[in-house]
Amino acid sequence: MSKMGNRTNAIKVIARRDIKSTVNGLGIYVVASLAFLVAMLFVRSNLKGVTENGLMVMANPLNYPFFIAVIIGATYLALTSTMSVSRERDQGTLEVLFYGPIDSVAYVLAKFLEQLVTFLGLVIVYMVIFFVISILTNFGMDGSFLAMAGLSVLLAAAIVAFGLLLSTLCRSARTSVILLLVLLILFLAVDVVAGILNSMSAKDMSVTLVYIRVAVDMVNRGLQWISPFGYLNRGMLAIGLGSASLILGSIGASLLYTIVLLALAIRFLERRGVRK
Amino acid sequence: MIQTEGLTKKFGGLTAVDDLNIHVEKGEIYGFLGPNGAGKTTTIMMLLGMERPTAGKIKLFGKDLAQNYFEIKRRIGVLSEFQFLYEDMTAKEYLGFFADFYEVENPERKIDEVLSRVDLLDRKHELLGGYSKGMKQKLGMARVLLHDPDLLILDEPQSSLDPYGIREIRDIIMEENQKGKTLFISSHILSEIERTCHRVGIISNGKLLAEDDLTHLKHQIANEMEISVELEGYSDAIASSLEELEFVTSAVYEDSRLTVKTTMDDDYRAQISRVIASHGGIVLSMVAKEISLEEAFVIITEQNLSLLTKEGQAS
Amino acid sequence: MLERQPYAHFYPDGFYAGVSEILVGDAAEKKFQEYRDAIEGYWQAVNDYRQAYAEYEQRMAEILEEVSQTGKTYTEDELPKPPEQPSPPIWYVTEATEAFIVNLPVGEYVIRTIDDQGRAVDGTEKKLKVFDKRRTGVGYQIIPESKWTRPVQSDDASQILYLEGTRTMYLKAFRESEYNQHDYLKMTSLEQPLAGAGATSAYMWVHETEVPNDTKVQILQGGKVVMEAEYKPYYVKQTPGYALGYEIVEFDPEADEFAGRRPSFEAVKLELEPGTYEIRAVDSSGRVLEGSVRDIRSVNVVPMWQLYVLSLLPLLVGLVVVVRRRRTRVVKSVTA
Repeated sequence: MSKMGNRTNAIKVIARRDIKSTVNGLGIYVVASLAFLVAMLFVRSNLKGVTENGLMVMANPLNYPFFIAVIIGATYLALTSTMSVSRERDQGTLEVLFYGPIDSVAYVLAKFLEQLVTFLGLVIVYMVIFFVISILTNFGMDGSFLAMAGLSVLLAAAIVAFGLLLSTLCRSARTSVILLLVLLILFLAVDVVAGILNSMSAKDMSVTLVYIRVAVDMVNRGLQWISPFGYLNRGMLAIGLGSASLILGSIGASLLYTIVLLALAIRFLERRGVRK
Repeated sequence: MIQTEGLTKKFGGLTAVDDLNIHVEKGEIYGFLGPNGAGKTTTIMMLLGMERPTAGKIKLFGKDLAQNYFEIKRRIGVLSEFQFLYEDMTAKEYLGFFADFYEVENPERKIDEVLSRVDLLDRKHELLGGYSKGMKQKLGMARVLLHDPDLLILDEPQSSLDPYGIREIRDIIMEENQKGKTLFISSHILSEIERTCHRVGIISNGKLLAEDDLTHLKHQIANEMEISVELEGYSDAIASSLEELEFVTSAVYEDSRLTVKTTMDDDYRAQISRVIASHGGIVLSMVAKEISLEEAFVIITEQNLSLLTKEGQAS
Repeated sequence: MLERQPYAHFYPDGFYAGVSEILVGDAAEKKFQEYRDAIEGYWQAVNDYRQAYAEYEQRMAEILEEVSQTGKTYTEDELPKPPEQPSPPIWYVTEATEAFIVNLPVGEYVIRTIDDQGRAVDGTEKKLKVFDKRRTGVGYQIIPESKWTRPVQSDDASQILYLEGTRTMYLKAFRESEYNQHDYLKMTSLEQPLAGAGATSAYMWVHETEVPNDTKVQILQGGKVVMEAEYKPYYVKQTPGYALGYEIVEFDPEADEFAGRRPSFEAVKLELEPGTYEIRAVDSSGRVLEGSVRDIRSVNVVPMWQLYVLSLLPLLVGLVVVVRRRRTRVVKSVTA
């Protein structure tokens, strides 16, 4: 059998095992429900806005709740993949796997694929439930929502790849999990704060706050190339502008980012080895 | 089957394996021995491609591992010293996973077969988290056998096992060898090595000190056979007659036992019996005691005795 | 290399109408001269008017004196008519001044002045950024009948108007362009150097001109036009009593109740029953204005418990899966 054939088999077997383990565990269902409950808070806020004022202008009121649900789901999957790799190494089962016909490329890709397939399942569930909500509330669901659902898969791929990289870099499961959470929260927080500050008029801001806005804007612009959320933002902007070249460019950039992270993860796994 | 040439591994300033040249023939059972920290596990890890050698070459099945990685890995079965299992799986699920991994044909039948060989068939639906150390060790062996490898690398295969388990594993080792499999075994249970292995390699402080078949190895260490005789009707004439024989180096009677030391070139028990009988003695028991592997091992490693020629071949 | 040129701003509809045109060179000076002539003509007319009015007043005084002395009556035709007050010109032109007129493609440049020797003058080097709009469109200002002092904006075509129940609202449409917030504010808020600071990644819609009054707004349902509304003037009438406090009515300049008043605003009125609609602005030839399409949807006020129950469905599925798996494993281990 060729190298490709061997790798494909290893990827298939490990991914299938892990998917089965995920689907048979309670974690993914708890996270899905939690994601929906959090998203419903935003839906409730939007509904309240309309009922209180009688009239409200909003762009795609289900997009932000969906985005929140996606973030929660993707982050959970990234955490589980990070913990899974680190735990396998700590427990020694990773070493046992590598006695067999598997290399770092196949292992990392198997872990990545497993999370991506699980996320696809999650997105389908999200879309079904949000579709029901859109009917119940008559918020409606337009092309941008579907585009966001598509882009969310790229976002999840980027976040999972990011988590895998950290798991191969860090010595222990706890360190990699904490680092992943801290970085994702940091990326998200800077993005949100930059958005809030940009929406404020300079007339209403003190000079100090203006300079904070300048600093946050600079940091955010840099982070947009490192943060997985930056690639989602670019994609959503491209869709909003309706530019095919921008859309293709953003998809390409997102894929390249994910590939680079995976390649680094493979490299670090080879260097660090698979033994406890 | 396994050949290393100048295999070296350094960790910073520490040389864990130093210029190792081992050679394992196809179809033999090779014992790889050494004190703790000698470099056995590091050597095994390099053979498996899980540690990168600092220098030297490795060939498995006559091929370079890097060039033929997957092909070689499919033909090897490895049992590590400690068993690392997925504790939330049952034995059936665990072996089912590895059966998929190695693309084993008729996996259900094969799983039952290997579990039966290690006497775990009736425990196949239990979670591995509930297995004892011995059961985990046997399950590890089952995993190794699952894909019918040509080369089995076993690190302490009988550790944590009771006498029944030890015998089971020994039987498996012999059965596999009879099928033409090559086995590379690292173990501290030297009595088992002595019973099963054709050849041994002894490593200490990262250096290979000896690599030979057991008989020749013992002969290199000890050049005398000690025969202990329990007899009735001893007389001093027996001892003096024995000492006249050219193959006898000494004959001493003490504490109702006659200890006769002979050369190693032949088995002289029959001649000794005849001499005793000719002087009216009656042999109640006669035990030939040759140097054990353990004694040879201790001598070699304590004295750092290299029994290899300059070219790394056994002398 | 740019040379100084005379230029002037020409406001054909007056300074406060907001629309201007730049005239360059001789055209600027000529137009400014025309404006000055028009203003001089106006003041001359004013002088003539004053004189004529003084003569009129004198003549009227003589007539009143004569009537009071002699009792003579005059018919309306016999009375002198007051002179007509002249109107000033509405259009306006700024005085022609000289400047370097920059008209470059989008990009970043460095500009500087040079002396007559061709040498760059120290301290005159400046960065120049020429930027363009990212998008254009039609935005709406929506005045809800229930809160007419709190209009809402819909600038982006992706925005949807959500209503609760039957609603009446008044729409004003205007052309708009989207600019980079940092660049636009730096250009327009020179007195606030920090206006656009830190907003290099943000964009803003800038309202430009209102669409012409002959623009109509079409309401569609299921792709078919169900209603068409046109611009009309409306007046906010205060009502006595506690309810609402005001009433928005159509302004009729001929009606007595509106004598001496002006309309509160001009807009398109929409009265919508609950449902899903689409609106778009069309010009006088029936062409849809680009970027003017908006969705309007009436929300259903769903009890939140329904949404929370929906959220718990995945958890329920998970519990079923886990319990079934545990049972299967127990059965297998027992039968083994």
